[in-house]
Amino acid sequence: MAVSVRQPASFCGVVGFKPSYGLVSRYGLIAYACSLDQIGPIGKNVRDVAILFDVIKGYDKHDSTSLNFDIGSASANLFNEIKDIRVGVVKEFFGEGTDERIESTVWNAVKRLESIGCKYEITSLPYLEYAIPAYYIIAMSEASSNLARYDGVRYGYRADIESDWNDVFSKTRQEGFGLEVKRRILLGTFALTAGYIDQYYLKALQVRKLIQDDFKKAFKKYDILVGPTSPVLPFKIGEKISDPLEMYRIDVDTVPVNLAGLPAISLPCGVVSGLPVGVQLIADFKDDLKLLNIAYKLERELNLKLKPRVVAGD
Amino acid sequence: MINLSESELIIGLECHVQLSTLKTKLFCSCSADYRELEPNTVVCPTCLGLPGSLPVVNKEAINLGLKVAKALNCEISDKIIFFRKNYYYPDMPKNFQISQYDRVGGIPLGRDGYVNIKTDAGERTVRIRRIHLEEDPARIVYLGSISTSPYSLIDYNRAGVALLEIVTEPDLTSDEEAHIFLKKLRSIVEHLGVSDGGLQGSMRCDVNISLSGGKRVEIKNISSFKEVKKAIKYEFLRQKQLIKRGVIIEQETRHWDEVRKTTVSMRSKETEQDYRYFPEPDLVPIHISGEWINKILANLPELPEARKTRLMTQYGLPTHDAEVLTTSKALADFFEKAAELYKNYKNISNWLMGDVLRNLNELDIEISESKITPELLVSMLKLIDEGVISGKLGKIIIREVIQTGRDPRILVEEKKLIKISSEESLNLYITQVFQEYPGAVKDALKDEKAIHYLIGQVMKKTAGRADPDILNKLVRKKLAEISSSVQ
Repeated sequence: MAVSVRQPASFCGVVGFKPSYGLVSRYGLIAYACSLDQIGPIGKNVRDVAILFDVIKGYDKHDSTSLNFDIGSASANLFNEIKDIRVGVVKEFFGEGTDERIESTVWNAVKRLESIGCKYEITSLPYLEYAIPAYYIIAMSEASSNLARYDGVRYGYRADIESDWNDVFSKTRQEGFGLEVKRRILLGTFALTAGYIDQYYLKALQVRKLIQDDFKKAFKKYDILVGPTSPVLPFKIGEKISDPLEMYRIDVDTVPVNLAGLPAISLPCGVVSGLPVGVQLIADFKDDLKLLNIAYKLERELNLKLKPRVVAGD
Repeated sequence: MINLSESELIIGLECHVQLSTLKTKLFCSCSADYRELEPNTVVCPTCLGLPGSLPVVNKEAINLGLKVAKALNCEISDKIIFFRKNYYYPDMPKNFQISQYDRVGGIPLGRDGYVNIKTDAGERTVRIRRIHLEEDPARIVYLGSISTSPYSLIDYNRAGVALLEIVTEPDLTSDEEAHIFLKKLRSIVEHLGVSDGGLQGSMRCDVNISLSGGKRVEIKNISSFKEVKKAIKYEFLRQKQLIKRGVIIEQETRHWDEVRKTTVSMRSKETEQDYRYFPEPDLVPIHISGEWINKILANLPELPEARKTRLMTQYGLPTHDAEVLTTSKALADFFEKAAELYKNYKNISNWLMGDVLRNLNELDIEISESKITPELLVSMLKLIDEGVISGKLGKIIIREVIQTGRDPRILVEEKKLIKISSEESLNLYITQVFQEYPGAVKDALKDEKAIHYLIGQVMKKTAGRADPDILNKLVRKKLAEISSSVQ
């Protein structure tokens, strides 16, 4: 899933890196939303992540969306000096619903960027406001189609009934999928249905283009963009499952990057009430090496010696 | 041929032509040659639609598609975009088909083309709405008829084979016209070397048919061009009967039951499928450059129209002959091979268009399925030219050559079919007949009809092998002798 690298990394106090779309082959990855899915490494620190990235990246003729382009060694590039880096602090990432404690923790990290040769200023990407609906409509539409193959004929679970194909398919899918998956399939199917596709799926594609343009404009002025990885602190497992809209909103800071196919990294930048907070750095398409280089420097500058804390369960 | 006196018939076709000359499938490297193999043996994660697999476009399929688009006079799109056509059916490995679309930002490979066909009513233009590339679904195998089979088996060997969908405008007005169009289309794709129409299921067709006053009915699952004619005829009669009884024809989709030769309702308009097309996110658009198109054009082989003209000039054939011979690549190839071995071209053409085609039609097979070869036909023509057998006998043994592929010279000897032209042997038969029919001999002295009777009797005795000219001469000579001896 698209936000299953940076956000979990941020919640767990580790580093999560989403490469530019196409740098890591998706061949073998079980598809959720093909145009948004991107495999990325999670690790203890930026260097580990860069080393793993060097192993998994590269052109793959089995994936037509794979980039036939060698960006070079990320791990070797980490130690390069950086200077005159222009940083844009994205206003929208600190919008409504963002925990104030996260806001101040991330701002502290942003200020530390100055000590490693970066200059920052506040900027705005106005179309980010529409990222969540656009992202979920596209993701669910693609997912509704990608998950159609789970019909029990060739692979996986199959309902134990003897009937015609329609019954077997329906029963298999009814029993095999969980509630959230069914919700997404239904919404995605709806968004693609004749009569609604114009207002939903096609509109979402337009928004995606506008967000891509927003980023493109921003990267004319800045080398990287920053903000929090998540607007909320880590929550308990199952805590938000009954309120899907609330759960989807938590992805507000991460999904715009997927819509634009850009590289982004989340690294720990502090602790609030014993819970880790992540800062997200975003770079222009194919600027993965520069991004990891800056992240490495910031990580060293922050020098957080985070240790896992065992908390007694409820 | 359907009688159109009462109702006006409008037909549009959706033809599915397998790119059977491709080595591999459209989106994976599995062999596209799936016929007569154990079920589910030429499959891979991609054509089985397994999780984690991805499609990769076979560039050669695009080359072949472009060739067909050019040959059908289509406008060519400057890029290839694939779309997902989403629907559930057991023959669909992913429950969506990677296809192309002409709306929501889609553009087919070719559009707005045409094909000219020759019908009894003269030349007609059939417009081509669009041509696009898509993957073939798996093959479902039923036990007997689809409506009574207790189960269905799925063979994924066919899944993912490249198909070209060719959609016509509703420009056809009879089963015969549809048949002529399909034959022409087949001849074109065979001349282009993109498909072998003789392969089972390599050319399939959906038919849209409406009678004046009624809504459009689509007939799916017609697995060969031959069946198309039967399906149209059946559907026409069914609708006509309904209209006669005052029933209004509603829009629906029907299924052609090949075993029972009837159409069966699949779904009505209310349940018409919404395919939820959207651009295939696993594939990137492919740009078609002018250079690419030029390369296609430069390598376009001779098409049936051009071949027709060449047959006329090179072999001096009449227009009609050249037209009939080029309705099938196999037939035209047969003619030209024979013409290398035998110089009376018109004679070859006469035999092909006459007795060979008639026998093939009666046997309901194609020339490629028959055993006759250009060498065998020429061998027979030479037997006739040499006077070894009569043309009449040739007509008899050609059927056996078509069915068995045996050398006509051996057949003739075995069956003792060699023409009897020696006067000595013929006189023996004549003497015998004259003794058996003294009355007829008497009549023959003054009645021409009785002469023919006597000749007929000799022919009968020789099982038709008597040389008719010599026999005629000898009978008359013998009668003259009798006549003079009597006087």
